[in-house]
Amino acid sequence: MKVNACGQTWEIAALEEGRLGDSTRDRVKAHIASCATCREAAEGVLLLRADVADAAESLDDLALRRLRTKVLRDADAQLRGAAEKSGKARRSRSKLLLLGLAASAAAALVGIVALLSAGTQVPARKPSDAPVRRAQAEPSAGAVWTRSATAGFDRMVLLDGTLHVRVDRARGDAPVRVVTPDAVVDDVGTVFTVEVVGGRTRGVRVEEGRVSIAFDDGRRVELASGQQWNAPPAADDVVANPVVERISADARGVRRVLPSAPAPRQEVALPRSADEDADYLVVVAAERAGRSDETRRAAQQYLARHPDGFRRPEVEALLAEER
Amino acid sequence: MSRLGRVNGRAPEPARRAEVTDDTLIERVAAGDLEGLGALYDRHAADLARVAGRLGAGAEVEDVVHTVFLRVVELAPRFELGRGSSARAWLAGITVRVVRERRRSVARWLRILGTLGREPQSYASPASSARADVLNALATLTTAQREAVVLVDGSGLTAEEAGEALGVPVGTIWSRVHHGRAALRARLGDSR
Repeated sequence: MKVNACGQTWEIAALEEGRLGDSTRDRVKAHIASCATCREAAEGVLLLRADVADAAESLDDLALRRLRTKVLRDADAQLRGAAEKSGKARRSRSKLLLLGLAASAAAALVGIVALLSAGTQVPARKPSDAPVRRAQAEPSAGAVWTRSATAGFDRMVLLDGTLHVRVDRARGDAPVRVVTPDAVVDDVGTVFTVEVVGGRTRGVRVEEGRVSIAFDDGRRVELASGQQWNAPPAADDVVANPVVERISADARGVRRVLPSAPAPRQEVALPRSADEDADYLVVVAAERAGRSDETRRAAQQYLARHPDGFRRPEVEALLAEER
Repeated sequence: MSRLGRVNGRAPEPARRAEVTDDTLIERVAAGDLEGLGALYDRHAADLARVAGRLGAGAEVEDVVHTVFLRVVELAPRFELGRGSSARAWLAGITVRVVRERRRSVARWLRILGTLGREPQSYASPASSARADVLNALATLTTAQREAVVLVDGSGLTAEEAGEALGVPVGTIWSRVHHGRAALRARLGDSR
C-alpha cells in the first residue's frame, strides 16, 4: 500500500466524505492541487470507489421482471396467510370467549340463587368496559382507502376521494393518522375531512379540534377548528404554497383568506450516533457556521471527552487553525 | 381472493415515480397494497441486487432480493414515516441483514461438511477479471468493513445513511470505511 508521505491522509478521506467545513475544505483542495502525492492519493480514493461501485452487475432485465412476478405472488400469499392466521386466532378466541361466558353465566346463576336464598340484594352491574373503536371514518362514494391498526396508529390510507373522520379519542386509544399520496394528516382530537384527487391532497378541513399536516417535502401545516387548507389551483404548487383559509370566522358568512403561518422548522431526526459523533458534529457545525469561539470550545470539549477519538487528529488541526 | 393491486375492491392508480415518495409507497405496502410493493421493487430492486452482489451473495443474488422484498412486506408497518430516516438506507439495511443471515447459514453448512474457512467462489465473475479481483478483495475484509465500504463507496449512501442501515454510529462507519479502503488498496495493489 502506498503511504501518503505528505501526511494528509485523513484530510483527503474527510474531504471525500464531506466532513470538512468550508475553510478547511478550500485549504485541503488548494493543497491537493499543488501536491502531487496528495493528488494521487485523492485520485486513488475516487478510483477505489469506482472499482467498488462497478464490482457487481445487477440482474438483467429479464431476471428482474421474472423476480418481480415471483415477489408479488409470494407477498400476496404471505399477506393472505397472515390474514387467515389472524382470522383463525380470532375465531379461536371467540370460541374461548363463548365457553367462558357460558361458565360465567352458570356461576352467576348459582350465585344469584344462593344470594336470594340468603335474603341479600344483588349489586347493580357496572356498565360494560368493552373497548369501542372511537374514530369513525365516513368515505365518500367511490373513495379508495384502507384502514389498519399499525405502528401504534389507527391508520387510514386515502388514495382517492374524500374521507370524513370523527375522533372521540379517550386516553389510551391509538392516535388517528390519515396518509395520502403526498402528506400525512395527524389528528389531535377532532372532526375533519381529507380530500385526495388525482394522487394529490386537495384539501383538509377541520370542524373541531386540531390537525397537523406533514407534506412529503417536509413542510408542516397546523389547522385549528374552523380552518381549512386548500391546494392552490396550480398542481405543482400544492406543497410549495399551502393556503390556510379560516372558515366560519366571519359572522356574515363571507369567507376571508388569511395568510398562512410560516411553516415551523422541519424536525430532523438526529442519527443514532455515539457521544463522540455528537460532539464531533457540534465542532463541524460550528466550524461550518464560521463561529470561531464556539468551534474552539467544541473542539476542546471533544478532545477532553474523547482522548482516543477517531477524529482526534482532525479536531486538533481544526483547533490549531482556529487559534 | 388475491389482494394484488386492489384496495377496497378497486384497483388504485399506478404509483407515479415522480410524485409518490418511497415513504408513501412503504405506507401503502403496510396497508397491504401490493401495487405499492411493485412500484418500490421497480425503483430499488436493481440497486439492491448490486448491493447483494458486492456483499458476496454471488449466485444467490436473486434469492436475496426476493427475501428482501418479502421482508419489506413484513416490516413495512414498523417503518416510521417522516422520522427523517431514508427509505434507501432502510432497504439497504434489510439487504445487508439478509446477506448476513445467508452467509451464516452457508458457514454453518460448511462447518458441518468440515470445510470451514473456504469462501464460496460463486461470485467470481468469469466475464471480468478486474471485477473479480475487486470482489475477491472485498471478500477479504471483515464483514463490518465490507458492509460499510459497499454501502458508502459502492452504493453512494452517506455515512449517516449507512450508519442508519447498519445500526451503528456515523463515526464507526467512517472508521470502518477508512480501514476497509486501506485494506482494499493493499489487496488490490498486491494483485495488480
